[in-house]
Amino acid sequence: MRILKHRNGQFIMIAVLMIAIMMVSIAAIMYSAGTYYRHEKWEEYLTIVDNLKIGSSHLFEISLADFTRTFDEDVLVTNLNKWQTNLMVAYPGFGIALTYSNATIGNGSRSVTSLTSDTIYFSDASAKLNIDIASVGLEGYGFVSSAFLGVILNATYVDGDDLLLYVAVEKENSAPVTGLKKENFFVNGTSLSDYSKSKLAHTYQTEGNVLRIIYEITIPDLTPQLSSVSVAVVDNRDIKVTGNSNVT
Amino acid sequence: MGKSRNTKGQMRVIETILASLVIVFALTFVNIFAVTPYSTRYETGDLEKLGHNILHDLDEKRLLTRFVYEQEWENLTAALTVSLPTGVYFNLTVFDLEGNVVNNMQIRYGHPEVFSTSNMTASVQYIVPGYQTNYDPRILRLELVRG
Repeated sequence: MRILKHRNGQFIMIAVLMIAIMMVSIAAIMYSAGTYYRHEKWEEYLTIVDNLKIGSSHLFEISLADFTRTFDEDVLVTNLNKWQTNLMVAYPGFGIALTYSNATIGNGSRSVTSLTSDTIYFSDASAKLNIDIASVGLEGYGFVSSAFLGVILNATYVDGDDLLLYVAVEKENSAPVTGLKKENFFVNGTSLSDYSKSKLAHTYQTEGNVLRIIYEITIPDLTPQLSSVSVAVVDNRDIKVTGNSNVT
Repeated sequence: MGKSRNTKGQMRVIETILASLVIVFALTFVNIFAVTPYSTRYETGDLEKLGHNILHDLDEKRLLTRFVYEQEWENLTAALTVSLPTGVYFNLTVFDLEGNVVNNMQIRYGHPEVFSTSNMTASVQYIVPGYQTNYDPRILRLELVRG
């Protein structure tokens, strides 16, 4: 009889002990998970890497904007060399080393696709960057940074002497450039806002997976009629690109 | 028989007390090592992450460089104030590469005493390379405290 009675008591104790073990185990798991995700050093250097990536991206935009005005081909390399040094001032004690390769800057033109005769004129700068952070043992974090502005241009006369220009403007990864105003366009070296009665509108066009914003520029009564036209676009980053087209 | 019933009752009481002690011990043990979202041990780290994310977001939207290089300090103060949660105070200082302070007015939210009395101040360093066509880096130091 006593043994039976004690068995009941033992069962309660065993159950309580098991519950206690479960609680302690769960706490241990929570503790290890919490400390892992909160205290790992990569948390700290991820924020630095983020800063370096977006900063480097801006550096390419600044360099390209400068190049499209001065045509100084050394501007990118000069700025990258300064950036390497200045990062050590911004993050002293981290052991940051930024290196680069294949740095290119320039402008040019190519066919939009192999299927069309349209030409895209572009200004671009790019390089492969590599980050080491000695204090946390990070080595060889590589990424490509670039800045790009391209323009596709078609020109025609309508209603006699009205010049109609179709201008598609795109940036990195073929993303359309939005929010451009008359002040951003220059036709044959003259600001669009200086042409009296000029109009600027835009439409959307999809080509495959690429969405384009087509800016429609109308300059009424432009005489004598032009056989070719040059359109420069300066975007909100101050990067400039110039496209040319025959007027049909 | 009467004695036997009494013993059984006493044992139940003892078992219950022991069981309670085990539970209390387990709860105490768990509480010591519990990692709650409000644990003060992580306060600084969380504030640093918060500060960095806000500067990063403003930079991605191309607002940070405009505010810094166009010296729109009021707009920068307002942007940081609305981006940070209630009860988090900040003090931002902008330096050039020589270590000179560039901002000619305080970029701050919160009484100066909050920063001097707080024993947990998070500090975030952020660099911007320049603006438009000019390479001219600025270093931003954002200090954050909870009020």
